[in-house]
Amino acid sequence: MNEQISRLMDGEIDATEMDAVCAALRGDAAMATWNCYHTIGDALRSETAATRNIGRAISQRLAHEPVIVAAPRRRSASGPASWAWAAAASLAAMTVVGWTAYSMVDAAPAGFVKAREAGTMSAAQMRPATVLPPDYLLAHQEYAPTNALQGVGPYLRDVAASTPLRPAVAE
Amino acid sequence: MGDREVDQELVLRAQRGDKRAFELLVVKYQRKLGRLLSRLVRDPAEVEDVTQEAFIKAYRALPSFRGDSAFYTWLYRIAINTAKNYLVAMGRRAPTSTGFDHEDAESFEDAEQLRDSATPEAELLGKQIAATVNRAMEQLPDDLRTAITLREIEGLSYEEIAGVMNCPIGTVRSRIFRARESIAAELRPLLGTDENRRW
Repeated sequence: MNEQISRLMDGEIDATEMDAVCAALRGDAAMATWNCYHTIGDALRSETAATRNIGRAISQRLAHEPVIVAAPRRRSASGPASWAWAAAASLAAMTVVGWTAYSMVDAAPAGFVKAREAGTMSAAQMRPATVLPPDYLLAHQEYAPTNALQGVGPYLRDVAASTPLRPAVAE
Repeated sequence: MGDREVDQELVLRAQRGDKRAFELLVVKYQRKLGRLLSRLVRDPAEVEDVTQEAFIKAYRALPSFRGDSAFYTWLYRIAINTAKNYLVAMGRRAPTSTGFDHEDAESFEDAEQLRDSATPEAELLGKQIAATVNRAMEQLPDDLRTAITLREIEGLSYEEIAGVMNCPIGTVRSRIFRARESIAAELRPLLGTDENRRW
C-alpha cells in the first residue's frame, strides 16, 4: 500500500486505484506514511524550517465541523453536458424568433396596401369644399399636411409679408 | 491522473462528506501555505493560527468549489483573505510591497527570512528533520537519490524522469518509492509516527 501512497502524492496513480488507497488512508498507519512522505518532500525543498506539522490540530478542529453533504458542482458531470442544454435553448429561441418574424412578414402586405392607399389620395379628395382666401392659406400653410417645407414656414411667411411693405423706389 | 486531478478527486470526496480526504490535502499543503503566510503574518504562533483558520474556512467553503481553478490556487486566495482580515482585526495593515495579490507569490523563495521568524522549537525540529533527511539522502544509491531529487525538487513527472534517467517508468516508480521508504525509516522516530501511533 505504501507504494500506492507514494504514487498518489506524485499524481501518478490510476483512477481505478483511488478507492482502495483512500480507504487505506482512513487508517492511522497509512496516514502516518502520507505525512512522513510529505515531510520528506518539504524538507528537500527546505520548507520545514519555519512551520511545524499542524495537521493534527486541524484534524481535531475538523472533528467538530459538520460533515459536508452538499452536492458538489462539477463541470465534468456525467449526463447531458451544460453546452448541450445551452445549444438546445439557443435553437429553441431562434425557432420562436424566426417563426414570429415570418408571421409578421406574411401579414405585412395588407397593411402596406392600406397605407399606400391612404398616402395616394387624389388632389380632388383633398380639395376643400369652400374656396379659402389666399391670405388665410398663406397664414396657415405651416399646418398643411403635405407641405415639404414644414418647419421653415415661419421664415417663408416673414419674407412674404415683407414684400408688399417694401416702399417703391422712385426713379 | 495528474497531481491536479488527484487534488480534485480528494476535494470531490471531501464534498461527499469524507473528512479524511480533506485531511490529506491539509497534510499536503500545510507547510507550503504556512510558509507563504509567514510573509504576511510575521509571528510564528499567529502564522499557525491563521493557517488553521484558512483550512477550516476552506473546508466550510468546499461546497462552492467547482474546480475552475486548482485547489491550491483556491486555498491560497482563502488564506490571503484570512490573513488580511486577521491583520485588520488586530489593527495592523497587510504589507503591500510583497506582491501578495500576485500569483507569483506562490513560488517565492525566502527561507532565510522564515528561519529568522521561527520559534526556537520549530527551528530546532526543522533542523533535525532537514539533517535527518540529508543524511538519509547521502546514504542512498545514486539512482534512487537522483530519482527522488528530480521528483521532489525539480518537480518532474515519472515520464520525464524516465526520459532523463533513460529507464522505464516502472523503474522510476520503484526507485522513488524505495528512496522514500529508506528516508522514512530514519525520519519516523523523529516524527513520532511509528506504525502503532496515531499520525
